[in-house]
Amino acid sequence: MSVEVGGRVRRFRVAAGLRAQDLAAQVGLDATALSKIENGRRGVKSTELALLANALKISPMALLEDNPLLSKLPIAARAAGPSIKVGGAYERLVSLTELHVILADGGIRSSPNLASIPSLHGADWMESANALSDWALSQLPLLAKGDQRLGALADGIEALLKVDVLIEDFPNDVLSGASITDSEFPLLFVNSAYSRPRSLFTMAHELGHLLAGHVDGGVALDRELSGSTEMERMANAFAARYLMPKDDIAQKLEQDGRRMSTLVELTDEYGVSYQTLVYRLHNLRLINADVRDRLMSLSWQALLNLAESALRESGLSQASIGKLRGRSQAKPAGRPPAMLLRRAFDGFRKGIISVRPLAGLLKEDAALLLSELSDTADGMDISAYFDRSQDADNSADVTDEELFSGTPV
Amino acid sequence: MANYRLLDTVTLRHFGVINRMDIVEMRLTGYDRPAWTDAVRSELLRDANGDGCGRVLEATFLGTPEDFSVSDLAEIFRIQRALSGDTMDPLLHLGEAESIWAADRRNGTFITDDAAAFDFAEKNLGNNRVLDCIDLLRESVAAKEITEHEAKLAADAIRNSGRHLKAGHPPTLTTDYFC
Repeated sequence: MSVEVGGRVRRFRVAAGLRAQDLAAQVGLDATALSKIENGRRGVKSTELALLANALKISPMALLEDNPLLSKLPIAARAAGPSIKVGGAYERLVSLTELHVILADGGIRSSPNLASIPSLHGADWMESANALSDWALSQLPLLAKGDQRLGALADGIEALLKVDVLIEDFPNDVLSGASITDSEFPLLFVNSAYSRPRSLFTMAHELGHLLAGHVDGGVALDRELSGSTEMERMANAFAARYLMPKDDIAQKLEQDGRRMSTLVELTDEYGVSYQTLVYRLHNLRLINADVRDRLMSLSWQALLNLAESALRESGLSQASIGKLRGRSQAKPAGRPPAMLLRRAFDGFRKGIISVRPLAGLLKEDAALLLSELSDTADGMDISAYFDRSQDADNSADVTDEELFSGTPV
Repeated sequence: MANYRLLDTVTLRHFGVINRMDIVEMRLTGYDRPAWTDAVRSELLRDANGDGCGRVLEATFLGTPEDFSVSDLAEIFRIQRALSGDTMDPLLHLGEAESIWAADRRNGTFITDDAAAFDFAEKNLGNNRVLDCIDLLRESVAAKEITEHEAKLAADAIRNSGRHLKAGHPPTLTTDYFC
């Protein structure tokens, strides 16, 4: 047993790029003691193991047992760059994965519904994005508009796929989103410290990862959705196609004309950022590179200034226009992972976990929650603990004004 | 009857801060040692200047803290994670986890004033194998080691020191509460 644990300590230390003496110093051991632990010639105390795991940014459970999922997180973090582990978001994902493992081992398993997702065998990234977005548009239609889309998408993912969605605020954390594609515990994470439009695109991007199911090691941690690999390009292409369907855009432009106010309306209706929409128009060859660049040089506020008189003429109130001005800064509401929360309630009731993990999911005080649950132990209504309030829809009406005249290439 | 009692850090500090470790010693009479684990001791050492910690660390009657083999640690850390919320403090609740695991394995009793750990332990060990400091004071009164009045004074002193009894006890305690 000591040999196996020591071997894992060494493996994760090497994977983290740490020298033995540096790790030893971090946890207050001398280098000889660490060497003996790694070689299985010395036992390890619980406190030492806890500190080693903390220094390696890994669950102690992954040092003690072969746990594929828990072991994948540090590998994915390594791939995403060292600063990924600095913020609380990464730790949160480790903590939720530990919770899943404990609940599953206690007989409370997740039951994702991923069987209907099309196979992508042999498809390149573009073909994959096409196939998956076609499937998603038919199976997971996103009918909501504007600010309602993020919540509606999360609801849809949970309802159709039985996949957990976590939206949580981790300010100043470089991790903007993540997907755990493990078939036992699929989870999509979006950092709500970023704006609502960015969060929506991140959610769709992570959904792309999940549907493709081909993330190295089953975990993708995203700091920027930059498209640096084919996998990332596939996820970006999927998100763009899913959130801004080609036929829908074409119809809108045909109906309302190539006006600045049409851009405002499309941006707001799709719930994406203005820049994301412009790239989509260019990728659909609806505008050329020159127009793309000219539109990209406009800020959202500048675009609104150009479109404002037309928007007013169309009957949009000053308050609605003000809301549009603030949309690029507005952050989404948080939401706990619904399936995991239900499992945690069950686990709490059965004594598999204490109240604290449950309170952590709900962001509530553990003592108060315990008192509340103790009073209602026989008839707990967990729906009362879900708060999925979303801000009001911001969609605007449109009339004509300045034109953007990009010619399809 | 369990012949083994394991005390959590919070409860040990309760008695340490009011300088009544003698009550703990009397309540451990007839029970096997050790009465604490290595992680509990480590937690006290990390906060050695904190209220009550010094007196607990000087209490030799607790025995040599129980250490665990590597083969025990997987289950102990599962309990620790089950006791933890979203904190990633690596040592938090480790003492409780060791104590609950050891109490479970040895048909022992776990003593804590942490409400979450108490509730979790009660569901796993059974409600007759988890106690808090009020239970110890009641036992002590029943064994005529202290009077009801002394028990009330001790509980009030714990609260007056800024520490918390387990949730569920009334805000004002009377001597009858310890009978």
